[in-house]
Amino acid sequence: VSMPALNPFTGHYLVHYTRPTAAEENRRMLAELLERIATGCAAADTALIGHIKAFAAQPGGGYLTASVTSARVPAQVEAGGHQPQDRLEVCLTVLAYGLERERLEQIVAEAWQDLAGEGLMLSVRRLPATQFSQAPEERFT
Amino acid sequence: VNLAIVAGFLGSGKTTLILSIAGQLSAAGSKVAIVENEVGEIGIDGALIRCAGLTVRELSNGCICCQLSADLVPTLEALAAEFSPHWVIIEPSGIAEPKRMLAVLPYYHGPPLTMVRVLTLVDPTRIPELFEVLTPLVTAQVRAAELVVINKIDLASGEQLAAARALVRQVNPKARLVEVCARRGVEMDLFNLERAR
Repeated sequence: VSMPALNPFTGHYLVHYTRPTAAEENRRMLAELLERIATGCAAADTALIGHIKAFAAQPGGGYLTASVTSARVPAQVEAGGHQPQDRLEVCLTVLAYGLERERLEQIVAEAWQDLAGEGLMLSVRRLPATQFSQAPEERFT
Repeated sequence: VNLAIVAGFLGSGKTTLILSIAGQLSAAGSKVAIVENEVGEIGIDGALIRCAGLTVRELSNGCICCQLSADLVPTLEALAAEFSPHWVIIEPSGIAEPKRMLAVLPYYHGPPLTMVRVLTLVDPTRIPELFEVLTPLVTAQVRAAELVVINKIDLASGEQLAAARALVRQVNPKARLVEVCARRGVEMDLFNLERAR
């Protein structure tokens, strides 16, 4: 039995907001981001969404995690040690069977664009994935 | 050193379960280390585990049962030498086959592995679809387990739970079966892990 191909996409982003955001605002933003990506994967005829997940870190050490496994169910988001901050670092991985990495990258970029046009986001900058292993104070500059 | 492999398909709740188990083992006085494997370039689950204050070694950008299989034994040996853990919990990627990880353990030459356990998590809301699309992988994951954990029981209907039980029983009739909601925490008694210390 042959299985559809899996081409993981990983993205690392720094989000600047117009003002410090509450935990609930970041929860909603991450949930919307992942749900838009899941919807995009389904619209692109993925054979199966494996997992779309994110880890978001704040300068002060707070964090959020988000996860979704289907375009039909809401994303689950948890927060720990959250404090209002105007920046948020977001790392996400998209594992969707049968879609090329370039297609996933496009779906993720469109999801960010849609979100940026609606809310409190000032800018979203893509960072090198390798930068995630650096100390938090270096990553947020 | 006791070793637990917590397997299961992508998004089945492995990291959540591990955080609950590792937290309880640590609270009971055990030294716990976690080997975290992700197919993606960035270790998202590893970052979360570090936030929980646990010791973690990451093997990212590939699967521990194939592309990164040569890294597993040196990672276990280094952890044992540097940290002297009572427990090492391995979270393979969701596309890993536990049997392939077990196959490299004879090459491990660190402190003796007194116990090796394989747990496989199953998401009852998705398992029929997964069996349909990824039959060999999901079958291999369930078949390799001595304990199958049906997770997310809070999200599953009675029919979905019954279907998941039936599928698991069909693939692996010998495995012990437990049902949990890892997000709300699990009781260690379910896994008989604390007795191994």
